[in-house]
Amino acid sequence: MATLTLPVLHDTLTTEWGACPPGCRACVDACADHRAVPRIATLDLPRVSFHGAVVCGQCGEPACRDACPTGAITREETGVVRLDEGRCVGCGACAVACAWGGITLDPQSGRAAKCDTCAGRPACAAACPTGTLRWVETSGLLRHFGHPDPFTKGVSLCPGCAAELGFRMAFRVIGPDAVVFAAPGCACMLACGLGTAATTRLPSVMSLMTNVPSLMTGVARQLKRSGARTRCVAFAGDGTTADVGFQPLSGAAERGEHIVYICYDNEGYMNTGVQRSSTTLQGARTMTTPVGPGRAGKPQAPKDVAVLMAMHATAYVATASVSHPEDFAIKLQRALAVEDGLAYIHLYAPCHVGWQAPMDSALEIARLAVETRVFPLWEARRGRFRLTHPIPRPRPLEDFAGLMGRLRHLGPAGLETLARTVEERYRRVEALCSALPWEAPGADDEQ
Amino acid sequence: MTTATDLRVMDGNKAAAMGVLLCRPDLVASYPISPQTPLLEALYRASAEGRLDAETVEVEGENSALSAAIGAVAAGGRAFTATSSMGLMFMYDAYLFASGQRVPVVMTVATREQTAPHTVSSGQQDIMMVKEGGWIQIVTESCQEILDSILVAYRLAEDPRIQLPVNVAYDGYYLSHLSEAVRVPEQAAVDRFLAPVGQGKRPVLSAAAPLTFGAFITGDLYTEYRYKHCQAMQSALDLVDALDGEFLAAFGREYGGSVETYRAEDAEILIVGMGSHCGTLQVAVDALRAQGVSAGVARLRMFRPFPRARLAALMRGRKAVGVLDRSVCFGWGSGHLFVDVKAAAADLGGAIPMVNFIGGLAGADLRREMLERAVRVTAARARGDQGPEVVWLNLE
Repeated sequence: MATLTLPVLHDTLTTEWGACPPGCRACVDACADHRAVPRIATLDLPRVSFHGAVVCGQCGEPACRDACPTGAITREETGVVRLDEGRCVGCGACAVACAWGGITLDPQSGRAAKCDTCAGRPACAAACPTGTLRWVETSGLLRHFGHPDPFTKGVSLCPGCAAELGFRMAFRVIGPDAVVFAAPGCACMLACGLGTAATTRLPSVMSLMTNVPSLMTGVARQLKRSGARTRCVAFAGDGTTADVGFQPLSGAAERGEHIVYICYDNEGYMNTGVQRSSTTLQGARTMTTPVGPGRAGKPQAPKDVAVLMAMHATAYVATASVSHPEDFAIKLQRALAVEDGLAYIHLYAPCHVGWQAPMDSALEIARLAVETRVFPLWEARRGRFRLTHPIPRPRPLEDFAGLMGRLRHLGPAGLETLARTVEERYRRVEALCSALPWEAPGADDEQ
Repeated sequence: MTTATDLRVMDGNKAAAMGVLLCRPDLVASYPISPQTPLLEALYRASAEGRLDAETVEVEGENSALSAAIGAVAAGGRAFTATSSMGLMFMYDAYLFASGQRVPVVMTVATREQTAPHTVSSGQQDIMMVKEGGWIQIVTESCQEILDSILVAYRLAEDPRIQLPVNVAYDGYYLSHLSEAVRVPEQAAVDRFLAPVGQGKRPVLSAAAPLTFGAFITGDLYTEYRYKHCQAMQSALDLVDALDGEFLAAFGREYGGSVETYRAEDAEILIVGMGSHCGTLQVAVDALRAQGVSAGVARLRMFRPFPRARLAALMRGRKAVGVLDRSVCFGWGSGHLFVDVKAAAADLGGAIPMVNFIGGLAGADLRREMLERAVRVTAARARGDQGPEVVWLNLE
């Protein structure tokens, strides 16, 4: 296995200027409560309709530090750019060097002043009424993904493929002590490669579409029998999972086989050229649900495979999205921690090719699917549910639909039908969460 | 050399179960279908009583039964499953996967007629429908032979030169539910017989040494797979003959390898068949011999690979050959066995008169007098009688 160096991430203060209302000075006041001189300022430019907060961005390569003649500015391991006021001579070179207004000269003290993040608990963010300023704790994000990338060099999937990204994420969480199972479809190229060139460094099985969980059953039982702790993990598409291969999946769940099954859902048979599957979104255009005078895409609502799996009282079931990697990683860790049954994760992985969207759009589409309630994120243990990412105020469905060509033909009526389906699905999950609530944690439940 | 044996009365399904137990599988996967179900019930009972140390998987369909077995074998274990008729058809997906991936799994087939029309009765159509599936197929005649053939099947399947799945077929009801005296070998003798093959002697799925099971390939590499598969199958013909001698030494019984003959040495006409009705055929031949008809029987024990050379040698110089089929080959208007036997006869150059008898479909009676008539018709063809190439014994 290749050695791995994780990029270093830091917690960070973020500003989303568009949400900052003119006239509000809550952040400045909060900072002033803690400091003699506020380290944050508001900037009003009414002629260009701009209003925002200006604060140090804790640059990775801070120009202020480089400009300081006395070495008073350093960048700490936590990512905070620190000013040592004792060494500051008040020359102002830092303020000149910073193009962002992140460091200023305090006329009273004759020294520079800048944000120190209040040691990771910024008062400004706590006081911000609009969410413009937020403290984002990203320093621990990669801790879930500590294993090496599973791939060898060269993966023959479309550029921008979300399934490939999902596979990468999954096996950086799972690690090398696993056998990966795939079925004919895009992921077979991920798991098994082509000819004598393997794609992954893992032992891999290219199953049939009709027997992934059954093959896994045999392998998992035999590995356990031989004393190995190696996990069997499937990474199979929605055609295999929801359609032709659903029977063996249902069987394996009912028997409680000790396997982890990840369905990457790109809502169709993409490897065969974009035909509808039973998880294809209602109204979506595919090669077998075309749009014309007599038809307007797929008439039926998508099959909710994850709910069906949870209804087997499966040990662990979750939905996840490539747009929410930490959530996916935590759920995958829960799935791996299951000792007494099957774990199923339904991973939303938009196919920009099949959905007729730009090559770099899959993650944005996925995020919008979550934020519009198209794809609710939840988990269930033994049929007890909870939403892991509730969406109290969904964004308009048009924001999602507008990102892709496959829904572009939908007029107001079509969108309304889709909206109803989306809402019903979300409410069904909500109802399950309240009727059959998630049962209280064991020790593994850190959330 | 014969070893101490335990003579017991049991039906074919129990004999099969006994054979499986003696081979110590790691995993048994099953889905019920008549007439093989009692075999699996016997294995589950053995598991409950601590006589079978194996994973047992009660799957939701036959394709999964075979798939679970394939999985266990891919991970280094020994696996067993069983089916009949439509169950065999429903596992065709996995059936082809098992052979193409060279997975040495053993599966018994208690043979049964195919739907439609609906029936659960005995017939050999099911194994004929999968004859091109790349498996080795052994077809048995008695309950003892069922048990013994399962031992041979694992030796064949797991031999490094073969590495192929093996079917052991026995006639549904006529054998599956027929009670006979069966000698049960000692476990230690079976262990010795199977010692040359088994775990750890082939590449297996392991995190320590990753490999791809089921690679996606094209063209030349695919052709190489097929070529090696064909070579392995053909080499099973010699191996099954050799194992027959080894089996005799170990257990005191022999079956003739790929072909067993009865009164064939001096016979002018030869009747070729497969399965339990070959016993009735022997009785018919005895009766006709008493009336001066020089007839013998060649019973194929191996249908795939087809023992072409041995059968051709047996047919050489005969005045006529009759072939008894309990299946039909659509498109040829005859039985499956007849098509293959004719192809083997072509190796002899000259034309031997050949006639096909189809009978015993869906449990239809194949009485002794019907088979005696088949021998007589064959003898008549030897004398130059003309008649239809295919005779439907139950429609006369």
